Amino acid sequence: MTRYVVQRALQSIPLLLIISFILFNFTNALGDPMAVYAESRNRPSARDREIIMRRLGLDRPILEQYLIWLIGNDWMPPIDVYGDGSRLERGTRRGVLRGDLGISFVTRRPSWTRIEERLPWTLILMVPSYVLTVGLAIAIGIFSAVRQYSFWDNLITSLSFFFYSMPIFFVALLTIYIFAVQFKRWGLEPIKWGGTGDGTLGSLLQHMVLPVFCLVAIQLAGYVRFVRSSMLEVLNQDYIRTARAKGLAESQVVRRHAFKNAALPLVTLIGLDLPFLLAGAVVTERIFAWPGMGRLFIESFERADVPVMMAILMVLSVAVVVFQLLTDIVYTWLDPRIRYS
Amino acid sequence: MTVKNRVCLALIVALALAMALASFGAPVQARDRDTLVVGFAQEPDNMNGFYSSMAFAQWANDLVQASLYDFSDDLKPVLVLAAEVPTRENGGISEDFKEYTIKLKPGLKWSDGKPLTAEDLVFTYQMIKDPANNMLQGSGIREALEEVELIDETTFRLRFNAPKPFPEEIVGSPGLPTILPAHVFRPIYEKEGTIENAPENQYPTVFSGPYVLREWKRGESMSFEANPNYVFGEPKIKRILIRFFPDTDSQYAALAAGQLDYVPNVSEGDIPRVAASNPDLKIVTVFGGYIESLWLNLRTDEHPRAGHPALKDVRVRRALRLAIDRETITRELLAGATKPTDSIYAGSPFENKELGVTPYDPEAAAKLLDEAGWTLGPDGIRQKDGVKLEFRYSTTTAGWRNNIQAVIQQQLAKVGVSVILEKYPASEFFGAFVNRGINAIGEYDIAQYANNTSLTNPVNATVDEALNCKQIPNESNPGGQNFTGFCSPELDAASLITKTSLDPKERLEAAYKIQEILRDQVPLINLFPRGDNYAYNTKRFAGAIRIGSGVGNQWFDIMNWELR
Repeated sequence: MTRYVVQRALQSIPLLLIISFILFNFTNALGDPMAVYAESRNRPSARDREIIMRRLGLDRPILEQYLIWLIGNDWMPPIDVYGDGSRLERGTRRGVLRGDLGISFVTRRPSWTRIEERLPWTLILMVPSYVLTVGLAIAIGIFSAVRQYSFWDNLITSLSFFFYSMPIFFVALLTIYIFAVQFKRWGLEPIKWGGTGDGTLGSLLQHMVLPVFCLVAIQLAGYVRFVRSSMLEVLNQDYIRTARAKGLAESQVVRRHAFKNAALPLVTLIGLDLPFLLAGAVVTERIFAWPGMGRLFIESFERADVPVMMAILMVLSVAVVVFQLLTDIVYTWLDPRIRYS
Repeated sequence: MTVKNRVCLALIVALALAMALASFGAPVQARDRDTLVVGFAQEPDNMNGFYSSMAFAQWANDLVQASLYDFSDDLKPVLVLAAEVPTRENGGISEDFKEYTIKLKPGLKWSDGKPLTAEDLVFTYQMIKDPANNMLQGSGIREALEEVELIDETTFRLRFNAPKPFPEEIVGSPGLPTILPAHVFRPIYEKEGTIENAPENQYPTVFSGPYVLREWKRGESMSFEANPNYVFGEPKIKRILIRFFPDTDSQYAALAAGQLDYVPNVSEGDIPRVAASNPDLKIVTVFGGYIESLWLNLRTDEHPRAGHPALKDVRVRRALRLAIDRETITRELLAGATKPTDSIYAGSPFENKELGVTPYDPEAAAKLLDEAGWTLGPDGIRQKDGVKLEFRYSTTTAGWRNNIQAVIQQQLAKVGVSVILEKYPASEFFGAFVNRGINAIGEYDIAQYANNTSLTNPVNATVDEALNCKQIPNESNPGGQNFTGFCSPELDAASLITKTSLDPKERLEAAYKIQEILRDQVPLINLFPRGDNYAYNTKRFAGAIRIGSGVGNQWFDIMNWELR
């Protein structure tokens, strides 16, 4: 087992390098970080813009920029800031391999600092909505499977598809208009939203209501359908009939014999989804002005802030690799038939 | 308990929990008389004015850092820290415009109680001058400043290597974004040789403006408190909370719901719906110097990509302007918030009022196109020698711009001009030549974006950079800013006069000439001046408020703002 884990970890190194190279090319192709100055009122002079480009290394070929991102430029020949050799400056970047994710082009602060500020808020929003989604999905999915084609099953299926087919921005803006704007007009107490509140737990929870509701509403359907079909498949197996024939209570059959087996594919799904909780919810965070990772990514994207985008993408890539490995390990624990060697 | 019962129970518990959460903690935001809640669409990137070119950063900065003098909404100078606006008459500026002597008001203080003296100003100009600080702003001062000298506690002197006829670019709020507290920055500068990486740039602690920054919750909000040491005393509004709403729809929803009192960036196309969303909202438009235009690609083949050959004929360019119904665009799409113009100085004191505005006249346009040899083909599109009159019309992905694109496409179709619409993210559209930016390499025939004019002097950045013969970009001049490829030595000569002449009358005449050349040569079709649109909730303010123009400081009159 240990050998397997070590082997997988070693395999992931070249994988991450390849991913980082591809992502670096993509993020650099997204636009020119200097373009933000185009329509700005206080546009820096052309000479100052050139100096910025040289100092950030934006005038270098993309391969060299990748190399700097990876292993830094503090060992390279100094940067010719003015382009005429009259001012040389030693590079200060240490590169990702030495733990330096780079400086944000926009704020001039370390990319990692920006992630650190946002990650907790994203988790505060994403983890409860994910737990709620999966919990509700299991409950509703089992219920639907056990009562297949009943009135309640049909109702739940229709409702879940209704939300599933709605775009998140629509659900989000609709909830804002109903629970905040219209509630106020109707003389009801509007639900607070926008940001994370005034620092107290009560205010935080209240500000979470609408975004969590939206996230659960649009994600729930997929999981419900998954649990339902997975349960239905298991409920038709011979060993379920055997369990029932033994005279076990239906609740026992469903919970211990059926669900435990039906849960295996669900674990795979959760394992695939968990790393993306770190990514945050781009649209939801933006609409509800939530200071999370999704918004940071979009804001960095809009200003072509390559170091921050790369830092986020690499954190996610590492998380995906790690969670894949964890999923495999959990599998051996859930299903003793599986062995890695 | 059966499974069914358990599921029901779980659902009931979840529902009850959601309802409980929704109802408790009612008075969350302080909606009191003392706190003004402002919505910003973007978060400032830096709190040192010298290291940002972002409007929102400048606006947040203007709350906490005072300038020597500001400009009011009608472009009158407003003294803040300076005792007087320097002129030749009062001796503040030497006869040759190379020497400035500035006097501060006596007894000024920083927010921490330390005296704010001419020494802080001397330090600030020294920092601007030192290239090791890598400032984004202040290049106009940096390139010409020879010496800065401390005269006494409230007086300092600047000496330049060339005449500097526009004091606002040197000591006014447009040119000097921030005054640095020497007692904070000097130790950092002496230790590190630069203030570029000072933590104070992100988390400033000492202020000269009406407010002090109390807390910056990253990604969420900034809170400010009144500065009792401000030169005009403590403002009536004790606290300001700036909340960041990256999504405009949710920002407008918060404004409609009364969660925001003041929003400084309503885009033109959104004015009608914002005004309709809440009857208490008032929209104030202050001209900010931007003019939305269609830039025509007149480049020749030696540049990376030439524009459509028809555009080289001035008759075609004039016909395009005649065929676009700008009046309808401003009335229908922009709620009549602005009017069409042919002047690149529109809205500024240097606008030539006799210039006139080309009317919408599709028949005259068709006649001009016929004259130029572009005749209607069987498919309804004009052509000449087998070349179709079909233009690539590109702009950014901003929704209001795309609406204008669609309307212009219809209008041009009426005179037999076909248009292919293209839209790009701003970072691609405005990218540099070396990064193959759409404008820079000329991948367009018509490009829509804003040009911008100074409101306090006749130097027009657009004419000076974006229409100058020397600025046409190509492989040997990749930094060039003239993406149209237009070249008129006459225009360049007039532009030089606006920059260097010491005679205001001569400068004004040159500005008028520039406007005439551009009206007649049409390298760009000016659509309309764009305003800075502010929305505020009248229920929250004790009376109407005055808001400054984009060129000065929108909070210039904040001492008179009062909440109720």
